[in-house]
Amino acid sequence: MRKQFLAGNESFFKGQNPGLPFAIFEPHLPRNGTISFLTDTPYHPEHGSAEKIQAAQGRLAPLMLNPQPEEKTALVFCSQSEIAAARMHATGYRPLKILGDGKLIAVKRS
Amino acid sequence: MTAFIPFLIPMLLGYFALTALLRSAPIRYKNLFLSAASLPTGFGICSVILFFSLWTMPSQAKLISISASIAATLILGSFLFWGNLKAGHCTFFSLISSFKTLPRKFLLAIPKSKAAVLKLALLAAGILVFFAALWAMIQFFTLSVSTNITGGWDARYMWSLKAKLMFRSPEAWQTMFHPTLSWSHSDYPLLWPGTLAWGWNCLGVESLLWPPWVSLSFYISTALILVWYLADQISPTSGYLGGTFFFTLMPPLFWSIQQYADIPVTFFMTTSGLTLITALRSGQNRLFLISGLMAGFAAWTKNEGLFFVFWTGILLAGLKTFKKRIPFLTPSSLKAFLTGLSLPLFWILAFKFFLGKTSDYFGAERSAYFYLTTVRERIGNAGVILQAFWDQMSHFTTWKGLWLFFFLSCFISFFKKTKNSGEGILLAIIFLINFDYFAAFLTSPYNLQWHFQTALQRLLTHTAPLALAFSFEILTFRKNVPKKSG
Repeated sequence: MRKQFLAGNESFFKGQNPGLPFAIFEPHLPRNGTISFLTDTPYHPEHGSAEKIQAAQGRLAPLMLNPQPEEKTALVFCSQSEIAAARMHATGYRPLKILGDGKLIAVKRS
Repeated sequence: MTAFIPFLIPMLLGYFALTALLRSAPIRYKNLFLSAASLPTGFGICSVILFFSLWTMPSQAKLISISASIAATLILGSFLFWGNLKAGHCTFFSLISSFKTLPRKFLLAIPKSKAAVLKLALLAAGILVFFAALWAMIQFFTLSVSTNITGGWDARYMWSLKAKLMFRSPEAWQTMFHPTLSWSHSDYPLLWPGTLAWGWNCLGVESLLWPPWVSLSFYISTALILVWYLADQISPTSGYLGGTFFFTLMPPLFWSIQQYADIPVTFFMTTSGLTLITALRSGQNRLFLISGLMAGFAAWTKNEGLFFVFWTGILLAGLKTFKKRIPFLTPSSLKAFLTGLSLPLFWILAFKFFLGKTSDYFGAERSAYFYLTTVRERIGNAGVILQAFWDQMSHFTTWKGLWLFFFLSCFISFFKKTKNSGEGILLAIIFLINFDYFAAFLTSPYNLQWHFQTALQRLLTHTAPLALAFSFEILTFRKNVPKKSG
């Protein structure tokens, strides 16, 4: 790995980018604005959800991610679709576009 | 070749800026100083150019930040070249003549006595050990960063987010100050992310490899500034030994690998402190100017730099008022320090006043009265905090005995007769900065143990090079006579 670093091989290190799992959302989200970000558990700055939102934010910036379920659109990043469904139900969202198991874009139920 | 441009422009810019500021200043080992300080100074200037470009003309910021940096480099370079030409110091001819005098210089350099041979042998050994340690450190650094290219938590998420907003979306760069992103500490100054974004602008891509190389350059520069200071104040052999000892300290290398802004702030605090001491001993106003400039860059890097500026200012004002024994602390030298500090301080205050307003420590809910009552309520934690400091400082594997040497030096300094003033000022700076960190822990909004684990070692790193310099000065027995201003 040191050889790749010294050789300046960028692509070798792309897998270490913590925002890589959120790349699937990029084509479906606006570039700017604010959306909510939901994970398995409600956001708390000292829980694991904090790292997920910070990694996602780095990937999706300048789009802002609100850890509170306040925005019209939400990015749902859960470990399973059942958990995602439960979180959406608890926060008043419905699925708009499903991108994987527990990974979807949701909108507020009117 | 294009991969080197983000290094080449700041290096030349910093070199020309410092050379212009230090013109005709008779500083010993000036080239070593310039080698150490040019690149970080250049990064600092480029980050400021980018900051003002983003603030005033965000849509053109990328183009302006690069072209303004190149223009500044060319203007400063031309100014210096023209100045040399007018003074009859044509670089080309002086190079030719220095080659002609090389054989004579070589003959003069051959040692004539046993003591001189020993001195030369020690110096050669010192240089060899220094470069061997440097090589080993670079090997370790490159291996470590290649397994974790994005660095530690703050680097991976917080600092990189600011840099990404500056690079990806110049028109929306102020998103970083939005309350939704308060976890990214909107009041943190922007030298480090500005340097990253400036480099990405040059490269045209958000390179994962750029931040580690920048971090490494600040780390090596810190070692070189120590070499310069100790060579100037004690001897070249002490300089290289001091630099080697710095490479053995785990925390500076670790936090450099983590790509935190603590190493850049360490560099600027160290350079400011050491040039200040050199200036106080030699009376060279241009060094006061450089010290002020570096203090300003420290404040532009992290909020702890603002503490450094505050305490250095208080110390100088106090010395001027109460102590008559420092002959070179004149109104003009204070003015030089303030001149160097004023420009960085201007844009830092503009940043704090208009943009990065919210803070973990300062704000509407945390007034002076709040802090006074907090200190009173939590004074019982003082012992816990001091114990944490001691546990960290006395950890031999981590600090290789640096802080123990430092405390020993503090003890000896009361008894050692020193011809040169300044050690006391260095000592005061180290204690005052760490007192600030003690106070920060005492009034911390976070869980104290968590705060120790995540911050204490980093904070001690800020003053570690100054403690190293102080220890070497006190524990050695010979000093170079300070080079007075011409």
